[in-house]
Formats: sequence, C-alpha cells, structure tokens
Amino acid sequence: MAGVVAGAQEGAMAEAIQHLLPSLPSAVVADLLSIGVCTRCVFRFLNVRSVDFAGSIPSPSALLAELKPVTRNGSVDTSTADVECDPTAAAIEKAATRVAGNMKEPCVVCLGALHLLVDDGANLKQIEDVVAKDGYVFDKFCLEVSVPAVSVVRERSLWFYLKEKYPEETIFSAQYESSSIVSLKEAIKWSLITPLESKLAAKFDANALLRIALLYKHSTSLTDLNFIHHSSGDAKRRRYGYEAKAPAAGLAAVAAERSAEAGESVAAVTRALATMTSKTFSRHFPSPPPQVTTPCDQSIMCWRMPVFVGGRYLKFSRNISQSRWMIDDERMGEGSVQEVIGNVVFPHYKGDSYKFHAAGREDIDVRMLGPGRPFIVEISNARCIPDSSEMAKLEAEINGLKEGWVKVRELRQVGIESCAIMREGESEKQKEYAAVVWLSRPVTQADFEALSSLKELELQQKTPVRVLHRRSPLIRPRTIHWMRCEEIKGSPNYFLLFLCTQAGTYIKEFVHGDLGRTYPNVGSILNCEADILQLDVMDVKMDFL
Amino acid sequence: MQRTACFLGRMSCRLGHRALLNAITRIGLLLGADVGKEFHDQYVYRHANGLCVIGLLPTHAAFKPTPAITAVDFNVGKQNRADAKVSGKRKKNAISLEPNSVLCKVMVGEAFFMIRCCVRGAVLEVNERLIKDPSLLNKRADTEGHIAIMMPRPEDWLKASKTLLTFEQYKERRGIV
Repeated sequence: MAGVVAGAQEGAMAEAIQHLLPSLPSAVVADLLSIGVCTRCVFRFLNVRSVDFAGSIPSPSALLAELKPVTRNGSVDTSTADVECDPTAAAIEKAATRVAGNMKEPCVVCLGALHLLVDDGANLKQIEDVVAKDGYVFDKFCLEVSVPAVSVVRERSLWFYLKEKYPEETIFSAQYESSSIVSLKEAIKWSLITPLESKLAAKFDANALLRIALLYKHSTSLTDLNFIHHSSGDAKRRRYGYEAKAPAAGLAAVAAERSAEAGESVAAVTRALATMTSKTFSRHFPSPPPQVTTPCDQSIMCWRMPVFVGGRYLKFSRNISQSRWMIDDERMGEGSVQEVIGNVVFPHYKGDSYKFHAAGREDIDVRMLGPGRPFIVEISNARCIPDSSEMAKLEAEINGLKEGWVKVRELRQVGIESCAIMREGESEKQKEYAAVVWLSRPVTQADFEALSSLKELELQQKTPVRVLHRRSPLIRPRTIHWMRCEEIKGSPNYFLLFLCTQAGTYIKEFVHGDLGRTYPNVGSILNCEADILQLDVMDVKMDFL
Repeated sequence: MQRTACFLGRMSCRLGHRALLNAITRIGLLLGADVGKEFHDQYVYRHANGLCVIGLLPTHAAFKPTPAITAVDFNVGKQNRADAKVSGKRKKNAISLEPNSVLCKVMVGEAFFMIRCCVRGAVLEVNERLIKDPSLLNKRADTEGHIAIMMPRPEDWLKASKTLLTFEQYKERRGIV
C-alpha cells in the first residue's frame, strides 16, 4: 500500500516537474547534469523556487530521461530543430554517460549536502536522536545551517562557467550568483524543515528558542581555499593579529567561526570573492568546478537560546548579599539573593547554568522593601520550560522558604529585551530610601524643615573610601530630589530620613559625609556631625514590563 | 582623652558598616607615636578594603598649646602631592611614597611640622580642602581634616603595622586614661 502511495507521489512529483521542465533551458540542464551537479542544485542555479525541495526529487538520471521527450517535442520545424537539437542532444548524450556512472559521487557544488544527506532517512533519525538525547521539550524550533566554505567557491566557479557558456540566457546575466540563484543554505532548509516538523512533532519558527544547527564541513578541500587567504584583507588581519567581529547570535554562526581557525570561514571566503573578477578567479580555481571523491560531513548541534525569568525581589535580611560573595574561599554573609532565587528556579529548567541580573544592587546590610527590585535570571540551554501555572508555584515556593530572607513578586518568563531595560533602570531610574540617622546633638523641628525644604539638591560625591580600592577616583554629581523626616520617639538624637535620589547616589556617604568627601552632606546642612545606622531601599521607580 | 576615644569610635562608623566590624575584631586603627620626632602623633586608619587614611592625632605637637594651624602645604619632596591626577581602577599616576617620606608640611605661624606617611604605598588622594581651609585640621582632624588616603600593598602594610601602636599601647605611652 505504502509502495503504491509512494509511487503515486513520485508520479505526482514527476508531473509537477514535467510541467516545469519546458520552461527550463534543456541544454543548460543537460550540461549541468553532465558536469556532475545534483538535481536540487540544477533547480537552484535556474532559480526554481516553486518546487517542493522537501518532496520527492527525481535523481539526475530520471531528470535526464524527462528531458529527452521535451527536446524531441519542442522541435516544430525539422530544419531549425536539427540546429537546436544538436547541441542539446550532444549535451544529453554526454550527461547520460556521466550520470549513469557516478550515482554516488557527491555533487560538485553542494558536495552531497543536498542529495546524499537529505534523501537519507537515517539522517533525519540522527537529527531526532541528537535532540532527544538531552531531553529537550519544545513545540517550536529553528533550523540553522552553516555551509562548507568551499561550496561558496564552487558556486562562483559554476556561475562563471554558465555565464561564459550561455551569454544569451538572461538568468545568468548578473555578475555574481548571490541574488540570482537559490542559496545552498536556503535549499537545505527547504529540504529539511517539513520532514523535521513531522519527525519532531513541532513547528518551525525563526524566533524559536530551540535551535538545531547543521554544520557542513569539507575538510579535504582546505588547500583549495588557500588562494583566499592570500588576498590582502585577510593577510593583513592575520599579520596584525586581530580578528573581525563574529557574526551576531546563532549557534551555527558561532560554530562556523570556530571552524574559521581551521581555515574554513564562510564569511572570509564570501568577503574575498565579493570583489574578485572572473579572470582572477579562473587563475586559482577551475570552471566548471571539478569532481570530488568525498562528500562533506554533517555535524548536528542542538541548543536552546537563553531563557529569561524575571520579577521583583524583596530582601528582608541585613545579612545576605545580592550575589555570591566570597573572600578567600569564605562566604561573606549568610547567603545571597541570587542563590535563594536560583536554587528554586534553576532546577525546573534543567539548564546548564544561570546568571543573575538585577537593576542595580544594595549593600549586604541594606533591606530592599516596597515593590521590590527588578531582576532577571538568565538560564542557558534550558531543557524544558515551565508554563505560567508552574511559575506561580515557583513564586509560592520562594516566598514560603522558612528563612524568609527573600520574597519575589510577579515571577514570569520575559524576553531578551528585558535585559536592556534593566540596565537602563540601573543608571536612569530614581530610587527611594529610608534611613535611621544619628546626630551629635538633639534633633529639632528646624532640622526637619531644613532638610525637607531642599528640593533637587545637587551633591558632589567623590568615590567613597569603602569602594575606592576597586573603582575610579571620580567626582560624581548627583541629585537628591526630595527629603522627608520623622522623629523617633524616645531617641532625641535619632530620626528617620526618607529621601528620593538620582540613580547611582551613595546614600550612606550623603549622611555621614565620608570624611567630607561628599558635599553637601547631612552634617554640613545641619551644622553638626551625622551618621547612618540603618538603611532600607523603599522603591526602585521602574515600570518593569 | 575623651575626645580621642570619641573620634576613634566615630571613625569606624564613618567609613561604613564593614569598617565597624573591623575596628572591633581586627586592628583597624593604628597610631604612630613620635613619628619622626617626639610627639608627632598620627593615626593610620585601615579600612577593610586595605586603604589607609592618614591624619593627625589630638596629641600631635602641632596642636600644642592649642590647635592653631594656619596653613598646609603639599608641595614637598620631588612632586607636589596635590597635583597628581590619579585615574582609573588601576590608579594610574599615583605617587608612590615610603613610610618616611613627607606627605605635607603643616604650618603654625612661622613654625612648621613635617607629616610623614607611616606606611609605604601609593597616595590615592590628598585632602586638598586643607589648602583652602586649614582650620579643618584644628576642628576635625579625625574626619574632614584627614591628610591623605593611601593604598599600601598587603606586604607593605604588614611591615608597617609592626611599627605602629594599638589604641591601648598609645594610651599607655601618653598616659591617657
């Protein structure tokens, strides 16, 4: 039954292609086949986009067989037919012998990527295995492809050959093939995406977090690429030792860069060929591209892009730091916000590692109250992603911890753009504080008025002594937007100071003056000595999503 | 002297919570008695991060009979200590001095006193406010009137701390209760 269906499908495919063939220049098709180009690459170079690359594609010999009837039928007038047929017929004869002989030889352009590996059911199984091995749970995936560097050279070589041999064909009129043919990367994707979707039971989505990277390498042709490295740009770069910036994101791109060390960088080759004339090119590499004996090999990598979990945290302990703080292998404080949150959240994602980011930080002895400080946990290579109901459970779990050092609010999954929002929050958003202040003389109502009447007070803060060992000695101008005071009954020398300041203001130093290096300070305003005993962050004024 | 004890306590608060722990558990504040000359008493406050604040103690000869310092001059030795532009995390262009090097001159009318570093290291900052307002030394030698902030290497601090006194030893030497 299956055989019949497959046969019917083959028949159907052949039909679609049969309809397509008359529009293609048969001499070119035959010529390409005789050079040793596989079917899909033939379609690629003729810019055929309507064929389903993932469907059943005829082998070169089957394609050749389809050609013959066309040429015979295409002739109307026998005399003209003879003239037209002859080169075509000759090409077909040549192709026939070539095609019959080497069915298993890799295509001279794609080096097997589009026929040996794609049509092989075992290959799909291999991809499925790599993904399943780590236990990824997903419903969307993205496919990244990295082609062997030498295929760029071979495509260029074939293009120059076609341009020279068929100057009358407008499809070969562009100087370079880049926008006139279907790129190898695209073709591989077209060939694999639909079958993968059904094999993996997931949908293809360019924005998916789960990435499957296919890296094609052809190491036996490295020597062919030597002429690329002698072109000026790269040689200079090598001499002076600095590398061009790696292409942005994408696992395939990263791996391709790694293989650049082996001399196979696609970007370098494309750059070098971008300005090379056909004369220069022909000196170094033959056109049409020569036969190869070994196909390219394929390596499969599966990776999930970082997952971001965000929210706001509150810190109630005066003895835990924000991130893990070790001095000489000894931990400072009893714990850290990072570990409290990470130890609950991270295990549910089954990732490789996590990083903790927050919109600013507070000292170990300062509480974080009010709505809380925005934070993001970045999880690398997560194997599974909890949904929102599980998120609520995680939030409840953190809030239910017996130590009660940390509570979180609005825990949810966020996108990568949140990282930039957080950094902006650290440097631009106002913060509100509450401090317990001591004065060297009893506090008066006049003091309260003196402080609360100051609006938008400009400070000059030298780098505090307590951080001067690791920060630049600078004078930072900062603003205190407003202040408000409350008395503490029973303690005449103490009062509560509420203030709202610009991001990056050192509050402790504003109160005690830091040996006079922060000016003005509470002591200088009230004309006495002042010190700070306790500090709480009351609000981080940020709309976090 | 009550004043001495007070400011030592406040010094710890002044520089942050960590420093407070330090003053109690480790020797944070060390004193140089008779630095260079008799009765030239100075303090060296070491913060938990290794930085040292150098300044004059109330028993310093310059404050006898009453604190009446008229001028402070950092233009001593080969470079004017107030001119150095220290920049960056690596503290580039900081002047490196020896324990015996002179940090500055302190003038009481015609008489002047040399103030030395007490510890070997880079001078991160001198208190240039003293140039415009020398009375800070008379009023608040412990805080706003400090002389300089230095950054010694750990080994240099170890060497220096051996020559300096703890608060108890200093009290004994001066006969303070």
